Amino acid sequence: MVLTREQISSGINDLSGIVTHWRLWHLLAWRDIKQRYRRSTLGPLWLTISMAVNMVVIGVLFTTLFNSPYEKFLPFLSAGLIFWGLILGIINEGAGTFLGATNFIQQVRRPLSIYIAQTVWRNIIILGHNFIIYIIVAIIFGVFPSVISIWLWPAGMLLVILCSSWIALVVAVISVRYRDFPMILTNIFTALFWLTPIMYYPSLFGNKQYLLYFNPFTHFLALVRDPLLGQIPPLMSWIVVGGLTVVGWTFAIVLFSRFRSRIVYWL
Amino acid sequence: MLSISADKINVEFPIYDSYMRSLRHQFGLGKVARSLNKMLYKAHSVGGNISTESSGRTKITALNGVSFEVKEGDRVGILGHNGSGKTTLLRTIAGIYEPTDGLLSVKGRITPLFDIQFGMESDATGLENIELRGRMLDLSPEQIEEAIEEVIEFTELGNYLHMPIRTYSTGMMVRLAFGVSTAIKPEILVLDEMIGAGDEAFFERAQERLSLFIENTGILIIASHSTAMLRQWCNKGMLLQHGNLLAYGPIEEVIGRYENGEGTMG
Repeated sequence: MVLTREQISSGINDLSGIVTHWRLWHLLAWRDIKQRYRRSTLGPLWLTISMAVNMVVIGVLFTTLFNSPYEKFLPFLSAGLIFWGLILGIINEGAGTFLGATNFIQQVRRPLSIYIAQTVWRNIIILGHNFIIYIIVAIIFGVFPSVISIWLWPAGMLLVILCSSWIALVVAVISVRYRDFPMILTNIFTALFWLTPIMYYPSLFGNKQYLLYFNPFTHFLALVRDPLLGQIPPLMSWIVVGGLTVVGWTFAIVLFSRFRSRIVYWL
Repeated sequence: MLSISADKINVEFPIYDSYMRSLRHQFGLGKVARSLNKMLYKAHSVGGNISTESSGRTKITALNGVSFEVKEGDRVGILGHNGSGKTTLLRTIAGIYEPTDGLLSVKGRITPLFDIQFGMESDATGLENIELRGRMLDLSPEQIEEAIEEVIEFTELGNYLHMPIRTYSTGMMVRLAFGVSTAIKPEILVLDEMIGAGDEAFFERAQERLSLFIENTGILIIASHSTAMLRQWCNKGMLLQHGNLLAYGPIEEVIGRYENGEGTMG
């Protein structure tokens, strides 16, 4: 893989377009959301309702199955589902980003990375709607972050969003070239959903619990879920996600710089 | 000083979904398929040249070693038959395709206009659509405000601008799309074909507005099949065939060669 200095600098230049073009991706992301719910009375509130329905069903089912007290389980479950939704949304929809923006990309030259920013921002907006549920659940069951953990939460969020974003960029590039990739990804994430402690406590694994920590998404969730539940995320999770962010972004920048100009040819 | 300069630019499209060819290859039908392909490819008279690399990958050469200089004030009309590379050349100048080979340098801000309905969403209101288009074309919020005022005045759509554009008649859609498209003041304008619809009275106003729009740009690059229109707007012409630049010079000369049948068959 030959990578020239010009490719790197135009790749980075493209990525810096995210800063200068924030108005555009902000508008595009909101447009996506409005478009999905246009002419429906409740609009984006449907996001909140769907998540609530999902949560109540799973919550009732699993508290009965596992015989665990729901005042502890429901906040754990709702935070897990909501943040999993964010990560999954960024990565899974990330795969379709350039394909979905074909009409724009072929009509006018804009930095390609703004479409990634659009996908990420759209999913953050969705998170905002879903988060209402968590707040309600937390108030009902009296689960609150501790004085220290509340300060760790924004840091965890930032790191998780940054880390998911490079994955989105990488899968977006690969998906344009290999059209089977989005389907493969969907299947991987269906499997990962069950392999990540979202609907069960990691402690249920007993002495095999360490196996869960080979799954990076266990650490993703730890960084954003634990602080809300009043716990301090383990140091290992910070190291894993932090390390993945640095290594991942380096890889993503190299890959994107190398193939950026080819993307429009592949569409 | 605005300018565009192209030095031996190539644009080649890889075709991936023709992988059936390589599958046939594996079943020992490669030879038959290849000679069949050769016959088919030789016979084509439109489009860029299709070739198969030794790796079995198919590619289309849409532009082949094209070189030219365009200076401020030039109005260039691009002529050529279907698939000769007109649209590819426009998109390359607009920076959408980066040449696979060769050097292209553009001084000035490019405004592409390939599809006047570009980015329009039927459930969004007229105003929302104007805003999105403005943002896509990198206008500042103030410029978008200006554009909106201008479009209100030009299109006479009034309160309809607050309605979803799916409620518009075809004529109203054309007014809006045309109004938005011409509300910007481009340095370098890159146009693909031209639009003519709406009622008679609108058509006259549209002509007037179009003249102004085009006269105000530093450089115009336009592709069209209509020699009458190119005569009206352009002072220079380019003739393309199979991705090669056959001629570049005064518009009358190039149109003459085009009408003499040059650039038709391969």
